Amino acid sequence: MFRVVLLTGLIVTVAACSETVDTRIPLDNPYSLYGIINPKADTHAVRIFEITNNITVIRPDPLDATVMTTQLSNGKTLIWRDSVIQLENGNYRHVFWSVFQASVAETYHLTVKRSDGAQSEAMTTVPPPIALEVLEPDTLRLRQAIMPLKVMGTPPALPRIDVEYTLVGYDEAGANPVFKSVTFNYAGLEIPDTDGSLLNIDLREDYLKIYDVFDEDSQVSPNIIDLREILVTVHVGDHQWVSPVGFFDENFLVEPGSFSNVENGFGFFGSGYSESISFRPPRILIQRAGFQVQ
Amino acid sequence: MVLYLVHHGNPYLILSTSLWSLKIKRLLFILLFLGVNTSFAQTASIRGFITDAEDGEALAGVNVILESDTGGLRGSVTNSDGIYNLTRIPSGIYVIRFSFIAYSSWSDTLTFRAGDRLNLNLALQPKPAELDEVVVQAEVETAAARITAGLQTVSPRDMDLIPTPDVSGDLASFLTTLPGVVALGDRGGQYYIRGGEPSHNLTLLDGMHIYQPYHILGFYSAFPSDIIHQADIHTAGYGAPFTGRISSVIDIKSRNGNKRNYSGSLSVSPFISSTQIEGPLIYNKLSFLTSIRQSVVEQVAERYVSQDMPYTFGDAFLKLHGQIGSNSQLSISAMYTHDRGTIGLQSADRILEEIGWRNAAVGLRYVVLPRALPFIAEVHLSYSFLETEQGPANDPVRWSQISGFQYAVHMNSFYQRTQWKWGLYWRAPQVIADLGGLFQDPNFGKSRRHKAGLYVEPEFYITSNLKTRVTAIAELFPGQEDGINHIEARFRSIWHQDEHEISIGAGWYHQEIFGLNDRRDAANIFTSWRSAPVEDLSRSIHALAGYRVSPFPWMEVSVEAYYKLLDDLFIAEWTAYPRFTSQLQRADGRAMGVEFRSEIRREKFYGYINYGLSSVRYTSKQPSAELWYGSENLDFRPPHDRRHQLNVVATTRIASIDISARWNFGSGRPFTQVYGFDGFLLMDRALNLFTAPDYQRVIYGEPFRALLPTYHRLDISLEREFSLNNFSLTMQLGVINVYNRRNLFALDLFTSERNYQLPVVPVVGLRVDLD
Repeated sequence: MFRVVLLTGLIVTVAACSETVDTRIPLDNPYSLYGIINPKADTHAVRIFEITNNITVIRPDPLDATVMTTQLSNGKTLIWRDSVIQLENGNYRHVFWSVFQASVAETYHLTVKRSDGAQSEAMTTVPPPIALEVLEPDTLRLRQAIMPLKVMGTPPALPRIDVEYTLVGYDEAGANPVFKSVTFNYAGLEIPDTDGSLLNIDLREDYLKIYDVFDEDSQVSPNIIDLREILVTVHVGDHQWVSPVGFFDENFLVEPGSFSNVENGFGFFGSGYSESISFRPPRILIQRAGFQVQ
Repeated sequence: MVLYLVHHGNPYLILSTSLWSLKIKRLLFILLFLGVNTSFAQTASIRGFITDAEDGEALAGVNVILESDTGGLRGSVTNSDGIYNLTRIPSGIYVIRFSFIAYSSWSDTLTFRAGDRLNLNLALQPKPAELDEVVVQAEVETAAARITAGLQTVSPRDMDLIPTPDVSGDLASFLTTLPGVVALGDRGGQYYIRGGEPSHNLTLLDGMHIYQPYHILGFYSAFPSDIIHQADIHTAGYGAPFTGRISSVIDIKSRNGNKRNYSGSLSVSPFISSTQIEGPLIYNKLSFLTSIRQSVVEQVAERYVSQDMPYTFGDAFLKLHGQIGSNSQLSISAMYTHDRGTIGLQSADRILEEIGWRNAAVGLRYVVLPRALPFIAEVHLSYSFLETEQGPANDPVRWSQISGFQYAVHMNSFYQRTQWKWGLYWRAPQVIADLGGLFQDPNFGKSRRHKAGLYVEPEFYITSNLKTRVTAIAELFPGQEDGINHIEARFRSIWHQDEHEISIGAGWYHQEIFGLNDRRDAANIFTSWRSAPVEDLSRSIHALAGYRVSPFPWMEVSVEAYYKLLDDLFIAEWTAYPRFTSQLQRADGRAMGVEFRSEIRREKFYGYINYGLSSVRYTSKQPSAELWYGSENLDFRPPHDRRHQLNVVATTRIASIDISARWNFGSGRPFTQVYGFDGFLLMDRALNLFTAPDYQRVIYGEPFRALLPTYHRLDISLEREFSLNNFSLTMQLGVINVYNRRNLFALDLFTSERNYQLPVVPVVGLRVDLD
């Protein structure tokens, strides 16, 4: 009994004397990386962060990293070049880049290797192309103002579909035009269709939200809003470009590893591109939605 | 001995004739008939104020015994205002006796007739100290083991026993000796009481709300022991009239000031200098008490402490107290505090911002014993203000302000074997916040929420050994949604027999405003006050049970267990962004623990040991947590969950030198370990990686899974008083952190750098008391 008490006392004393504290959990991952292979571009880029022990300002010094892609179908490798960019806020970043034409359905393996051998890696397969086509709206449905758009092709993922309205507002007298643009994300609202998918842009629904935006602006009257143009940009991604929560919200996805395909590291390396089309809906549809045609 | 005896044949002849006073009395009259059925016409009553004959201070705890010629006994004890109240006295001849330890007893024979309402004010004369009585006095006044149903009453003497870097004591230093109080360090002014966060604690000085009562250097609060008459520390299970906070209450009554003589003191120490003056403005009627303290840390202590100490702070207190006629008292109190400093570590990549705060409060308190009615009434009006800011003094990056008036009327009467307390109050705190810098949502704007409440709190003296208190409170929020209005219920029961006492308590509490701060970083003490969402006020339920015993006349032991269920707390959202977030995250929690206290009072030795075992857990509901940790509920130990806490205080006197020592031990508090740091881009499309903005990111481990090192420290103080003609000189020699323990204060997770609490610091203090 005495020994137990003595031992307990000794353990407590030793524990109480300890002043050390380990703030870090060991982590082997050397890098976080964010990169894109864009089949519509000839230059591809990846932004690379060293995973550091302390939060530091990134300096424009060379980064201890060798970045390389391997095209799996033919084993062709490319070494990417480092560049230091300066963001608008003055911070420096390392962006590695390479010039080549990415081929559809090809898989690229990216490795970022440190001089001590530690490396992070990721793979991506280039998605197929798509085409956009504006369809004729059904103007006979009096209570609706739906503008249909056909996405031709079956890409693995559409992480974003931006529908940007270019609008003009006026004051109560109908003068002093003010241009505004309002964008809605239609991702996830596309309906599978033959040879692709169908996107129904609900002008009436969007108008109500646009009204609120204009209502907050004292320079314009929300009752006189003219719709000049709609620009639809469909962002296409590979099969990994799917948010685990169904949408892309930085407050959800900021946690390391929550949206990541990087092995032995964090971040996301994917293949993607965007296609755009602009149009002005028929006058009757614009008016039915609530807009004024000037 | 001074005696004021007024027999009220026609009470209004003696009442103050001021219009305001008459209005108040009419209001009290109306309120009385709203709440209590009175049928006192057939009996008599006697009330009054008991004071110290030397300085006019109220004497709390004086025994008042009324003995009839047939041998029947009635008794009462004076409250913190020195008021006693004996009611429903049948006609007859009685001997009334007033007795209090260390004071000469007083007795007289009185004849009561039906309908008599006597007002008997008495000034008791202190007796010359005798050895035995000094010991007994300690028994009466000391508070170390005397906790009953969550309430511990503290006297200035208790505070003076704790070694501090100052000749005078301070409430803050005493608080850190309590087993249920967790301080994050020796700076920052953040105290967590039995699981509650700093903003869950209600601090009142003479009824005024003091929102941030602790100074930036943790030895000091806004309450030096020199100005304190009594402090009631309710760590759980408190009753009315305390509302609006879900964890604890510190209710401080200041001294009234000397009504007979002028006196004052001056003191200097390496950390603070102070002056205090009091005396009569109108002899025996109106007194003042003023205290001013100003830090001298940067001028003195920093020169010989091997640490940057960029702190400046101070406080000022003024009180006027007047006896209006024989049956009422009016006091006006005002307090101002200021703090400014930089907490944490400066590094190449982290620019620390100054933090500062200012409290201001002014209050009026009117206590009256209405001649025509057998109750005690108190009217209270006060205004409190707190402004906190972070950033440069003239251009803060963010600031938060809370201010508002409080009005209250409290009644107290006896009806047969029941003491009735009831009252009403109205508060309207306004919160304003302007949050710039790295905050995610840059502006909170402004809000004010009115609250009206009324309460009734009967305490039943069921037997001579058992009393039970039941509280019902209704709170209404005019102009708000109906759902926010609520009822609170509380309960307390105390049984005692000889040297044994058992107490139980429970209560249900709501809080409509709360303070938000970033608990990931101990050095970030900026608190933004906010109104809770209207549909979800923070709530808690308390339950406690305690046992106290005096196995020997010189020893007292107590144990008390508590459980607090905390619902709808609002804490900062957990995020990997390395910046303060003001986005709210709802959390529920619970705190539980058991505290042991043991106190020894011997002729030449006084000391106590207390130990607290506690556990606090929060479960926050954050949708993103399911993605991160597999569950929407994030279950963690908050950083104030200190599992074990031990305090040892010992004092003795050798060769006219008062020697006191205090050793404090606390087990390690939880913190969050870090894997590392990187950057983050939201990859929601094919970004242009040459231009897209990004954010720095902390790769945290699971929240609060690691423990900081233990905390322990030994402080020693030696004091010697030299009495000279009209003044006395007290000299203090002390050492803070005697064995130079490197206790961690702040751990910068971003740089791994550590900021330690005070190293070994020798202290020399001097105090001059003038009579």
